[in-house]
Amino acid sequence: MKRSILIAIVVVIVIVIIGAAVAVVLLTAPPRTLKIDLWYNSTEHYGPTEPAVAQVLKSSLEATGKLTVNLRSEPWTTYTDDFGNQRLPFFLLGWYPDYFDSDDYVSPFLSTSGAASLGSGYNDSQMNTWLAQEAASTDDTVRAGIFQQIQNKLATDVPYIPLWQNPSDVEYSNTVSDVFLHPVSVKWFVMNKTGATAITGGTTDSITSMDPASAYDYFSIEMINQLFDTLLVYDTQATTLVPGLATVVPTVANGGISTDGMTFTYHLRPNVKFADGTDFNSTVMKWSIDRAIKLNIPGSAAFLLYDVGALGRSQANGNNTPVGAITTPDPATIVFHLSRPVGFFNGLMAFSVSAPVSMKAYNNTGQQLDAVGKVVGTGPYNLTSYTPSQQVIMTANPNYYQPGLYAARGIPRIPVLNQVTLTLSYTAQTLKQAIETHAIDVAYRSLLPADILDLKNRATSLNLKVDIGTNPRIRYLVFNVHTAPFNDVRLRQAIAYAVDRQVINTTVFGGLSVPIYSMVPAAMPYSLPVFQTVYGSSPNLAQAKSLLAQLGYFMSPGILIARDRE
Amino acid sequence: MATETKSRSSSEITWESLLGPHTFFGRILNPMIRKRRTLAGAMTWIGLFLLIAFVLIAFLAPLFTLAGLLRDPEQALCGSDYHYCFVGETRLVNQAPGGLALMGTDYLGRDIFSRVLFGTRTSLEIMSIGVFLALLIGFPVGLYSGYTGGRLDRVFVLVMDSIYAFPSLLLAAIIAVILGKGVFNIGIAITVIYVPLYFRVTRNHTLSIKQETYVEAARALGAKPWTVMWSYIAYNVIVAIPVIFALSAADAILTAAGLSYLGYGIERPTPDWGLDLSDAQTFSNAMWWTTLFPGVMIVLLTVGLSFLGEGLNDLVNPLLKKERM
Amino acid sequence: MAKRSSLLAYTLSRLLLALPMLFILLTAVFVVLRILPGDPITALYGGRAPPDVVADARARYGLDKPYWDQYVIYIRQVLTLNFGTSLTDPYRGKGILDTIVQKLPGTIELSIGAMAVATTVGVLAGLVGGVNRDKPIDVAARLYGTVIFAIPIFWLGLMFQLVFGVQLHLLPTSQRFSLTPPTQVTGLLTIDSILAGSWPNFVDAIRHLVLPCLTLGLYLSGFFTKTVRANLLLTVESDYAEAAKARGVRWRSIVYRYAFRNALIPVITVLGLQFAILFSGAVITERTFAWDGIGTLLLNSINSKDYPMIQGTIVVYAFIIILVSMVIDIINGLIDPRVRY
Repeated sequence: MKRSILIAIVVVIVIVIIGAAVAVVLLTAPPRTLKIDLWYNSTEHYGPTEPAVAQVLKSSLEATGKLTVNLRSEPWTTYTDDFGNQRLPFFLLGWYPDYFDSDDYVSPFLSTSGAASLGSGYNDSQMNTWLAQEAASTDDTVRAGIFQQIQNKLATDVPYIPLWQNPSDVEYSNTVSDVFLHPVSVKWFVMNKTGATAITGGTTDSITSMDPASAYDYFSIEMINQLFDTLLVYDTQATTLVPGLATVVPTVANGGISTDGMTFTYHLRPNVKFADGTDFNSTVMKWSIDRAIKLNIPGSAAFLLYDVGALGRSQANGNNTPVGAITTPDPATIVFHLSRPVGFFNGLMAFSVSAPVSMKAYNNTGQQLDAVGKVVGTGPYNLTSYTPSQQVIMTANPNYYQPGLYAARGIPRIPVLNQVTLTLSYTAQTLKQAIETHAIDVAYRSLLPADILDLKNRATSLNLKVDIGTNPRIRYLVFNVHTAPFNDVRLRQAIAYAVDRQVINTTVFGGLSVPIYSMVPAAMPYSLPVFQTVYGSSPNLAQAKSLLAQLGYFMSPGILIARDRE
Repeated sequence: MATETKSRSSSEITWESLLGPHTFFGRILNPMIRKRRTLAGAMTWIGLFLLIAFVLIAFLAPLFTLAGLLRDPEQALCGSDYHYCFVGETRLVNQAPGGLALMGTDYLGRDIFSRVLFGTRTSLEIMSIGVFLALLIGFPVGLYSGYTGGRLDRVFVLVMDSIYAFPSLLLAAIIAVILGKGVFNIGIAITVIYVPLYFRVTRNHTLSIKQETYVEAARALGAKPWTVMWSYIAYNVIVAIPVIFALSAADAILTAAGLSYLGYGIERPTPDWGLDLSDAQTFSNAMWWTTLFPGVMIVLLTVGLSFLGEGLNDLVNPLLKKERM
Repeated sequence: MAKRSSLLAYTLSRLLLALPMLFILLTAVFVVLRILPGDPITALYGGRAPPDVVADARARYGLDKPYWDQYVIYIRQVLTLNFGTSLTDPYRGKGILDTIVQKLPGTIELSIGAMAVATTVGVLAGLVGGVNRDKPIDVAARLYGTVIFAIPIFWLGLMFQLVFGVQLHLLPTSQRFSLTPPTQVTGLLTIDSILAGSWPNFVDAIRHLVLPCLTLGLYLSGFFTKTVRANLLLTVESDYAEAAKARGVRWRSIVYRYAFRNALIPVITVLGLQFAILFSGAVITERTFAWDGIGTLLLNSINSKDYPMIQGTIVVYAFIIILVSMVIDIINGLIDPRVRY
């Protein structure tokens, strides 16, 4: 064959192939759609279910036929850095409250500073005014009215779309009773087991620190709540505050809170001793709060005291609270003088960071070691054994000052059981195996939704009980309202019409999650299901499509040209 | 002067000029055909067959989906007839293999059979980018370094050996974390791992061939360095390349799957074997079909490439020792 | 005598050479980490704290200083064997070396078990194949060597978990222990159980070790198979074997007395070469089986950008690799009369 003929044949074949490829590409190209990126966290900060949620959301949004969603994921460290600097246009996020007031479900998102650090950049002066008003007010009716306005505006401006709340769950042997799924922490010291003085538990978590000045993750706080006490504590099941180390919950009515909301007075119980025998009094209380603030351990909740709680941190005073911020008129009274009104300060006094520590055992120059004999609090349990990432054993504190704390709830004395042994760092699979085989009495955090359902269905035959309750954490979508194309409120509203909370619930969480229609979850006061009212509880694709069509992106084939809004 | 016989001028291309015993393809195909009954020969043919099969799957899968013969790997299935889901329908999650879904469905209700076939595209894309780029960089650099010698050679050897000594998966993971997810980025990570291998093999062969008398003769006759390098040395070294190509391709598939399994590789919901295995472990733990099928595909493709590489090694390398210009 | 002193010289020179290598590695890792996107300090607070609190935390860790200053401070610390403290949960505030030392026994147990499996299976397959050259069993051994390398480690692990754990319920599928572990002496659960005299704990530790060691071991055995087989063939076809055969020594004798021993010598070398592969393999195996070892520690700290932890872990591992390969070289020198230093 001549070379030229061969070359000609090869060229023809190549052209045919290219032509076929082009035809295939053109034929399979989707109709003209708007391409958006949806970001999510890939390293299990919210659990292993996150990729499933992202993919389901992608399908729901693409069901409009006018959106193409590109999933992007990052590890948590990069994710926080990116959204904190407002680099992510559209992403999934979650929020766990630090204190139980509806304010902690609106201020962090809708105030200018809060919205900036959470990545949406939402900035509305009217909203800021309302937030300041409700935070300063203690009148229920007034607050309810303001919250209504806040939530309505949330639904029309749509900087966030609230999606769902995960359930919290606990699985335990049917010989165990008085297991309460409390939003803040489960109280091991009220649990009872027939014919036993000890109980065993398992969790997938591990403990970061048992120093109140350091801990800011769920399980460490849980441990601290068994070993330490705070001025105020939570009721067994509800989020109402009851007296702990203080004798009475301060209110405006009983004079504990000043009328301007800036002074909080607590009367302390007498004759309370730490596990090492030292006394608890107002001096120790002040020292402990100052210690947390002075150390300001990176990653700790100290800023809740000096920043959110308006106690202040003074370099002139050795990085403690400023002189006069905390006063101790007598050993049984402590007074907090805040720099501005903080309506939920009582809630902060129930947070683990406010737990008093023994001045003898602790110093204010560094974080305390997590070791037996070093973890000294006034709580119902004492630490008697700790192997990091493996096991922790707590034994009853024989000198507990208030065994009858929950007598009104039918628990005559705490701690009920003498010893609690917790095995840490299970995986979701091995935790399920352990509770199935009764290797442990109680399993708490975190099983996979499918496993929770499976155990629930077989509970009677397995001699287990499975309790499911809501978790105060909310999950939601965030829009960066300054980045195109999300700066157009119609796109945000269209997405709000298109999201399908039910399919997330059935596909990912086995029906166990709770759809939410406001950033303030239904269990909190003043909550209104505004997203349901405005956008409906199932996807409204017709509305979504019409809004998307209005956006004018679909004029030219294949090329997206943003049209000026008329 | 008129010639009687029709001369075979150099402008004519015959089968022999493409596949004859002195050409690149010829030197590989001839041993394959002659020794096809040996283990090495059989391995080579099996490997080639598997590779071609996978390449065909990669190209044909989207066309089959277009024609409706294969399901879309990213669409969930619903209902007793396994149709694509509408809004409000419950997905058929984690269904066992059966008549309507040959390999069952995964944790989001998608057809595993189509995901497994489409996964071929992702793997082959990453592998091709990685290995071709590694060849493009490693071969010339190894050739030049081996031929020239001297300080430059020592520097290259030091750099390449350090990369080679570092655990490959870790290196790839670090590069993947820096570059981010995506087919091209992972391809680059793979390239970085395999450049030293191509460099080494090329350089070693270059060094041994450099000593041959005919090379010395060519240089004595005044051939320019580039001519010597390409026409004499490269011509002989290149026969070793398909072996390394196949073996590094096999390893690249495994590395890419490993990266995806660890979470550094491909963004969801693109079908990818390693990623699907990782999700299967998390969401479909007791469902054997979610784990078995993607893994079998990885094994088949890797075995095919390994057989190809090892078979060629046994066939071609003895040749390399005896090769003459 | 000459050999001993040259061996000593060799050991010393290797150790001395190791130090600059480690230094370069540390620098490289430091640089790479600063290039990596993401910030562990922002992640600590996750958007909950105001920016000044975050900035304060960053300053406390010295992460707001210019990179060169950070580097100098870090190198100075390392020279006093202070690798710093962890930046992120769950080891926040704990010493790096302490954490590494805690997690190391897990990987050591896994590696030793895997190596045991790998050498046993690999050498056996290689010997059996080599002795019966070109017979079907040899073909099977050669194919085994090739195919086992083609199987991804994590898939092998997953299949083992499915078969032995989920379907047959014979063996546990993850983690190092189910019962409360014995008091920690060495960190190796098997040894600690023996020291504590607890048989149930020993059995528990072994049961948990079976699947991961089998997975990693089988994967590594392929290399042993090929090398041992090749060496066996070389030995069997060598001159002295022929001479022995000519003298009338029985074939079996030749194989068992000469060939096997000589074929096994390179196994030590292979062990040394395998270490880098062992490391990669261990990381994946640990992830598959949720094994509490250095691999899991490294992966988690890469994800959480715990700079001191990543730097410390890589340096410790590199040091171990260098140490092990040096020890193996020395052993090799001692048993192989042909090696001279």
